[in-house]
Amino acid sequence: MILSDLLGSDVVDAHGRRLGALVDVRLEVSGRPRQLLADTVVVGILVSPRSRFSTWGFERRDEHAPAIVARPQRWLHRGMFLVDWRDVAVVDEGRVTLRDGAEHLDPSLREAPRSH
Amino acid sequence: MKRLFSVALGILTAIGGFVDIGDLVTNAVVGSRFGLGLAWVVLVGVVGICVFAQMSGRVAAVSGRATFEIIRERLGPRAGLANLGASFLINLLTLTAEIGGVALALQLATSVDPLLWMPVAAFGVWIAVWRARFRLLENVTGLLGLTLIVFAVALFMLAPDWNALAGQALQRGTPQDEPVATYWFFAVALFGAAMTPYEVFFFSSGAIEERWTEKDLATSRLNVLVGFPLGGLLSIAIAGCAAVVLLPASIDVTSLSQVVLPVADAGGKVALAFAIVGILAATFGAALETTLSSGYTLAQYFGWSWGKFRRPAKAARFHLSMIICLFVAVAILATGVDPIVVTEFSVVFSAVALPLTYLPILIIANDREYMGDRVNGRGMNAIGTVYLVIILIAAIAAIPLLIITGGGA
Amino acid sequence: MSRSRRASARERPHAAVIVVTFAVAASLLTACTNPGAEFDRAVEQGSTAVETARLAVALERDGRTFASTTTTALEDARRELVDAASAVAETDAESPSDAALRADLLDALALGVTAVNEALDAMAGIGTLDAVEPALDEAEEALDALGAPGGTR
Repeated sequence: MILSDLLGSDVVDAHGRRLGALVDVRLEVSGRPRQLLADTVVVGILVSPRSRFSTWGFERRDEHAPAIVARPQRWLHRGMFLVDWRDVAVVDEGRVTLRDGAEHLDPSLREAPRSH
Repeated sequence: MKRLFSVALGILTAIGGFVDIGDLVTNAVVGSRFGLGLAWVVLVGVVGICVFAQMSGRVAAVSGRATFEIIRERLGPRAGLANLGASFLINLLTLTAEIGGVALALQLATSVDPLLWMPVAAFGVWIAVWRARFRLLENVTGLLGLTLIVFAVALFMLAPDWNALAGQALQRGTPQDEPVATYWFFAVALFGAAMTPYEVFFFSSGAIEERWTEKDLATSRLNVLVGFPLGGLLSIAIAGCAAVVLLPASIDVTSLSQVVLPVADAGGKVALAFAIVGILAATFGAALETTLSSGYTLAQYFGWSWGKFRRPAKAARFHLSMIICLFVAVAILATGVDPIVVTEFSVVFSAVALPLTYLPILIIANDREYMGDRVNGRGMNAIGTVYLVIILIAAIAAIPLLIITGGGA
Repeated sequence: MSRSRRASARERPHAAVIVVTFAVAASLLTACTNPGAEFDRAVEQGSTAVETARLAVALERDGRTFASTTTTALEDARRELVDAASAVAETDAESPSDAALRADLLDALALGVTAVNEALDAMAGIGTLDAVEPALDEAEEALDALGAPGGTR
């Protein structure tokens, strides 16, 4: 399966109720160690109730600038949440079903250590 | 003293490097049809390019990474691909126009048919990109391009009616004999010529090539803030010469030979020689920059190793892609299409692609993840936002105006 | 539903290509649609070319330009005149006055081409530039007469 197959899919809860569209996939470089890095692993999906449009990365941190882009993006993706990959029950073509009791998490990333 | 010299060199290079075939042709066309009536567009464009060149240079110096790598990472692969696609195609079109410009300039000097010069020009560009050091390329073409100052000198020597010129520049509305749509079409074209997208990729990738740190930012700011406006004044001088000599004679500029006639009129063979050398240097320099930009855009998006600071064997795909771009440019020109027409299309489509190339930079310049504390301040964001709106309007209006005016005919 | 979405995701780039191609083609095709506009454009193009040739010849006689530059300028002017003449020749007349105008316009443009060729010959060593200016004047007058208000209507 490639990422493009997932993006834009409808996300439904265990009862079949539509929660939104899958707009992004959260990855972590934390799998099996390799020579320089490690395997990349899918850890979650980003669900946006109102739009399939790309978030342009505005959900990752609390960025509000430039306002002319950030404000429409926040409005477009209001109510967006992250779902842990372990809470995903079934992945179908165009449709992702969550487990019963799947948690809606905050999509922001934790502060990364600063290098400068 | 050495520092002063290097600052001066930077500024002079920026002046000479600002003008390319798009500026030369578009300003001359506009001058011959509207006088200085569109000079305000050059001013708007110069401020815009200063703002965005500065932003992209800062992003590269502070983050240590080049534009397209960050764009793909921050905005996602689809937005990154849209940005890449638009930037790359416009770059290719601009490269074609510049190679055509080099060939036309060589024709002015030798009367040999431009079609014969085009492969030579492309070969020259390739050799320079392959062998010459980055700094050397910039400095030589930038300094030689300074000879274009002859256009400003010529304007003074023509002893024009300054009041009349000022009147043209400040008049509201369009001249009697040109329709409103044509006026705005050329405004968009002139804007696209001033805010050439490749300048931004080149600036930011150049920052990595030269291993800029934050300390270098101050120098680059000076280069940009002094050099580009002076380059803009040079563009206006080109329009002014056309306005003084060609407009009264009802000569509409359609070829490069018409662009230099006013200079010959003003200063004879010496001035003409300077003009031809300047045009050659400016177009060749721009051809180098657009070729490198094509390589940068592809390599940075696809994650190939890139850069002139690497030996060619270590950046094989980077160099190969540039060779292919040069081939495509020559192939397009070999169809016999008029390089001036290619130039006019390249500036208009530059205007269309501007939002796709500048919006990502504005977003990334605000991202603390890459910029730390060096994100845009309020003022910079305010100007950046105003320009984003201007750019969007120009981009949306460009193609309808192109169709309505039939290419400004 | 997903199949159609995947298809539409692939179609979207194609749609963009079609739109841009159409835009470019349309911009080239809307060159003009009626004889009057076509003739007007040809008169302007011809006038510009003749004036450019006049300027180039004047500068050459003053010794203010290089032979290569003058030759290039003259060749560019000749190309413009020939393009204008081709465009006029291939325009269909919509009335007898159109037909007459088209014939006159072709004659005037031909005068221009002859004059510029005389100049180019002189640059190549055949004849002199002295006779060129009167020839250019004649061509310019002919074009002016056709371009005056009422001339192309």
